[in-house]
Order: sequence, then structure tokens, then C-alpha cells
Amino acid sequence: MVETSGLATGAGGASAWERIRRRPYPFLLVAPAFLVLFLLTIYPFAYMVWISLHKWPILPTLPRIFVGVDTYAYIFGDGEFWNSVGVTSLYMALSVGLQLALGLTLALLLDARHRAFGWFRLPFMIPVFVSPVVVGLIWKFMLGYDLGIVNHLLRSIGFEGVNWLGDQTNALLSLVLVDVWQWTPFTFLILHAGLMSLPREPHEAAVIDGATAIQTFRYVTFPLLAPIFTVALLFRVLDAFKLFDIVYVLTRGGPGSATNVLAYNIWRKGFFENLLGYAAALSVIMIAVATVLALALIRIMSRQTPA
Amino acid sequence: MPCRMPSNTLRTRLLGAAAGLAVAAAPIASSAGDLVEGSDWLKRWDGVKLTLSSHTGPTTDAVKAVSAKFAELTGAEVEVIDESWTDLLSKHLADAAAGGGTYDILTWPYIWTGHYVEGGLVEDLNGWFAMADLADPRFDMEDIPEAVLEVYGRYRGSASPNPDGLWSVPYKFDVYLAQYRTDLYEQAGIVDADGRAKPPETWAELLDNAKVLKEKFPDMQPVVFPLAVDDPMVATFLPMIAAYGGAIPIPWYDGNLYPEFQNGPGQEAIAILQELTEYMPADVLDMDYDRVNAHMAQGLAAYALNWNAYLPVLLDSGSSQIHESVAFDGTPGGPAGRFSGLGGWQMGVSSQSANKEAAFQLLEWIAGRERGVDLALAGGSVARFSVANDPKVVEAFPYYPLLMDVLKGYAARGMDRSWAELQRTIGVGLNKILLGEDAMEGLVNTARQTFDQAERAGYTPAKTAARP
Repeated sequence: MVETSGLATGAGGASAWERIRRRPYPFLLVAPAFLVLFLLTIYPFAYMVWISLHKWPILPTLPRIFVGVDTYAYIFGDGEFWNSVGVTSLYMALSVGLQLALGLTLALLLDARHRAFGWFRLPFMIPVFVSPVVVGLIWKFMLGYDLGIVNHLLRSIGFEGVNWLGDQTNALLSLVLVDVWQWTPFTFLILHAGLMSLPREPHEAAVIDGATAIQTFRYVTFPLLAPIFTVALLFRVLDAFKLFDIVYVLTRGGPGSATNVLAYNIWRKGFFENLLGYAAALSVIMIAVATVLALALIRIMSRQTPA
Repeated sequence: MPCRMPSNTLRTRLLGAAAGLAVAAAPIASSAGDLVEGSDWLKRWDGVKLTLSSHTGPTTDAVKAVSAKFAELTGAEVEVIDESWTDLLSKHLADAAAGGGTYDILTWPYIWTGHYVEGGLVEDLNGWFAMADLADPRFDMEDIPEAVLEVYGRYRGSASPNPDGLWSVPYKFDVYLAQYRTDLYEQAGIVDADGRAKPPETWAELLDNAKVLKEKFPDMQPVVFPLAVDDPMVATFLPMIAAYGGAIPIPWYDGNLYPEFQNGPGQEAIAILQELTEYMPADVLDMDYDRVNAHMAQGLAAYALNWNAYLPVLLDSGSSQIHESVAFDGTPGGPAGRFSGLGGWQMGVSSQSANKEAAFQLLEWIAGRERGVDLALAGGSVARFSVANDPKVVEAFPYYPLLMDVLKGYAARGMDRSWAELQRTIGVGLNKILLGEDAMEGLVNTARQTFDQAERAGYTPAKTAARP
């Protein structure tokens, strides 16, 4: 009775342990996967939650003090945390919004059956293959105020140079620009593949019914494409939410705290300032938010998928 | 007889084996204790492997060359690991926490000293330098400026296990210096009685010069400072706040970590910095040390501040357009005097090293007086009077004597465990003021944040006064 307390009782009154004992094979088959999941995900996450409840210096020679939820209370009262949340949300909305809009526009404009599409598909995808750190470095040089090629081009056609990285608003927009440059091909590819897989009959019916191109897109194409669109949205939202490398290379969270996104803040707190408890608490919050976002998007996606 | 024979045989065999072992062990024993031929202190360390952990850069490259000679003489194997400096502290702490003993010699910037000393990562070197059989008799501690030893070697905070301990010796000497274009200054008429370019002695004078230079060369940036958020922002503000009366050597807070930068000196310093930024590039708040140096080397600015480690680039005809016209000076001063900001790295013997004696000798070898000139000529940054006065060094790097001269007045950043966090907060706060936030309000808000952070780190700022 002691061993089985707390476990769900199955049909016919048999406890979970009893059922495992009677039919062990299904559980044995699942066990390796569960073990891997436990070792690589569940245990580290639980340990991170445990750390977040402490002041936790890396060195065991310094005291590790249990502070409960004190760190969480401090974080929620910290203006810099809310600034990070605001910056991350704004970045995510602008960046993902633009990527999907551009990716969808390009997908609609380009006809994959045309031979030319095959020629430029690979070059178009190059930004996706490049490491974000390299992308950051390339753009760091290109966006330089005095020596950057972007301002050089702007000046050569009569415009003023833009203070891309030294101004609070522009610095955030520069991050968006770089992310859009890198990841729009990805959204384009997914949405284009989605468009190519759509049945042609509904479109033909719409044309016969006299629908305009916009009406066809609004009432036929987009609803059919919606599940794939949501997949692209899910990928990009979660990726943008944990943006780190481009910020690390391009702005270091500055100027001021204009680009101090959550993931960069966690890295700084954990690995530069050695506030492991604080960084762990931030990570727990970030994982919780990411999970809610992912669940919401999956829910939307499941509603859109035909039964 | 039958019984004695085996006994004798056994004794003979045991004696023989013991003798064999003794013979076999003799080279090891004598090699560990033997002096290197021609040396009166350096021992042979055959079979010993030493690992020095440091950051990427010219000083570490020079240390590699000097360490190779140590390996050649002593028979030790020396590995110098260089990697990005930003990850070094967490690697050292993680290794210490795991009890790994991966490193024999650790190097770190003094702003991390609290972690190394309070965490027990390094040995107190006082005892080691007192060991006659290991210490280099010509190491010459007096040849190292006292200011440098104070900042790069001591840890006098209230949490120090020994406030008089010597935890490290200088590894890379960094002083904030001014660089200016003599041609532009002379053309603008900013000259001394002999008609030679006259660099500013005060921040107010620099502001006046900037106005003159802007008028004379409208397309030129009169001034450029590293003001990117965090480290550059704080390093640049350091000699300014000191010049306006900030406490010396650490103007940011007192011994209890009660913030002081929000007071009069901080307010005056930020006011003049705000005025100076009007004569700097538009994106100066994105400019770190590398970019400021590139800006100067490209001939885009008339006056800059930077660490001395960056200056060789400006003197190199292959990479600098101003190599013939650039000159160097200390950072300007103010009503309280003229102070130089100290940066730099130090090295100590890891408390987890399995070969502390050999590690200590390698440390002495790298930092000793006799290798100083070689280290400097190979690109290292050395804090020794003898090096700064060496003709070959001065010919190659004419700013070296200045490095010693500016140490008459110096200021430093923090060294406690929470400094990385406090520096970030101060850097962001100052950056925001330069972006337009009210200075007084910004300084006080930043002071409140640092007060809270110091308390959370276990320090006691409230012992000095209530939260600002």
C-alpha cells in the first residue's frame, strides 16, 4: 500500500505498479526514451529551478543560501527585467512579423515551376546557412556610422548617414534588420512549399465564381495555408524569443539597455556576473513564457488542421 | 641450509630490487631538485606539465614565446591556453568547483579579483617569494610600481582572507592614455610656447580644444572616446570622476560598497562628458576600444582615449595613417588633479595546481625583471621601471616612459565579487544619461540599483548610510 500510494488506480482497481508488473514490455520499450528525457531535460530543469531558489555561487567554498522565491520577487520588481521583456517582445513582433510578411509575399510572387526559380534558390538561402555570429560581425562592419558600407551607399545617393548602432531606436531596428535578412529565406521556403502543396481546385472554383486575386487569397489561399503559416510562425517566434548571438556581437545590449533582450541578460547574469541563482530564475521565467507561447500557437495550429 | 638459501636469495633479491629502484629513481629525484645549468634559482622540472590560462592578445603571444624558453631550460612542458576573455572567469570558477586542477597558473583582470581571492582559487604568494630555494633573487619587486602592485596584487576588501596578502603579480599592464594628432593640433594653433602641439591638461581644456578643432576641421571628429555600454563606458568615466574629486583609488563606492559616484564629482564629470560627446562621432555610444583605435588609425579623429595595449597599431605604418603624427599623453585632469585609469591583468598560482613549485617558478620567469625587456619587445605590456627606461623598448614603443609617469595619480575600478554586475549597472546608467536622461535622476537611480545589488551580493552598504 505504501509503494502504490499516490499513483493512479487503473480500471478494475489495479494500481499503476501492478499493471507494470503484469505487462512490463510496453513500459520497458518506453523506458530508454524516458531515461534520456529525464537525464537531459527533466533533471536539468528541476535542478535549475532548485538553483533559482538560492544565491548560488559556482564555487562550493562560498556559501549557497536558500532564499526561496525572493529572487523571483526581486526580478519582478526590477525595472531592467521589464525593460528586457519589452525589448524582447518588440523585437519579436517586428522581426517575425516582417519575416512572415516578406516570406509570404515572395512565396506568392515566385512561381516555383519557372526554371529561374531553381537558379536562385540556393543563393537566396545562403543567409540561413551562415552562423549568426558571422552574420553579426558582417553587419557590424556594414552598419558602422563612418566606415560602414550601408552609410557609404546612402551618402553616395545624397542621404545622411544613419546612426544604426549608437541610437536607442535604431539599434533595435538594426537587430530586426539583420534577423529579417537572415531568416526571411527560411519563412519563404516553408510558405512556398506550403503553397505548392495546396489543392488547385478551390482556386479554380474561386476564379470561375469571379473572385478577385485579393479575394482568392483572403478566402481561399490563406485559410488553406494557415496551418503551415502557423508552423513558420511557431519556429520563428521561439527562435526570436531566445535571440542572443546577434545581440552579443552587434550591440552587447546597448546603447544603454536598448537591446538588452532576455537571453542576453541571462548570459550576462549567469556567465559574466556569476549570479547563477538570478540567471536560473530568469531562465525559468523565460521557459515558462516560451512554453505558453508554444502551447498557444500549437492550439491555434490544431484548430486549423482539418480533422 | 635449505632454509637459509632461500632467505639469502630473498634478501639479495630485495636488496637488488631496492638498489635498482634507487638507481631508476635517481634521475627523477635529482631532476626535480637540480638547478638548471648556469642558473642559481631555476630548477629542472622534467616530466612536469604546466598549464597557463589566459586571454587572446599580444601579451599572451609574447608570454608564449617567453614560456617556450622556460620549457627548453627546465624540461617542463608548458601549455599557454588563450581564449576569449569574456568566458574566462566562468571557466576558472567551473574548473575550481569541479576540483579539476586543470590550470597551474591563472590570469585575470583585477576587476575579478574578489572571485579568485574570496573563492580561494589562488595562493598567497608572500610565502612563496620567501622560499629561498624557489625564489628568483633578481625578480626585483621594487622594480614594479607600487601602484601597480597595489591594484594587481592585493585584495584589501573586508572579505579578504589576508588584506596584506600578495595574490598575484602583473601579467598585462594597461593604463588609459590619450592619443592626439600633432599635425592637426599645430594647424589649429593649439601649441605651446615652442610652437609644438600642446595636448590638454584638463577636461575643460579638451572641450575648448574640441571647439577650435571643429571649427578648423569641420569634417574631422575632434574627440573620440570608447563609450559603448559597460566596460568602455566605465573605463572612460574613471579618470574623469577622479579628476573632479572622486575617492582614490576607487571612486565608485566606499569600503562597504556604498555608492559614491552619484555625488558632486560624478555630477561634474558627467556634465563635461555630455558636452564633449557633442564633438564625438554620432555613434560613439557603440564604440568600444577596437573601434576607437580603428577610428584613430584611419585618421578620422584628432584626440582619443584608449588602453596602451592598443597603441602599437597607431605607430605601425602598415595599419595606421597617422603613424608619423600621433603623440601620447596622460588623460586630462580636473580640480582634484590628474589621474590615470588602470586596467590590466594579473597572474597567480592556482591553489589546485598539482605542481605549485614549478608553477611558481614559471610565474617568476614570466614576470621577472630579466625577461621584462624581451617580453615588451615581443609585444607584451610590462609594468616595470627597468622596461620603461630601456632604450630598445622606448625606441619601439615611445609611450612606455609615459606609462610610469602617469602612475603618480591613478584610479581603479572595483575588485569585489559583485563588480561585474555593478559595472554593468553603472555603464548602462551613464549611457542613458548620455542618451538624454536627466543626469541627477539617472545617477541617483543607478546608485540605488548598485546599493541593492551590493546588498544582495552579501556586502553591507547600509553600514555607511541609508539607501541613496
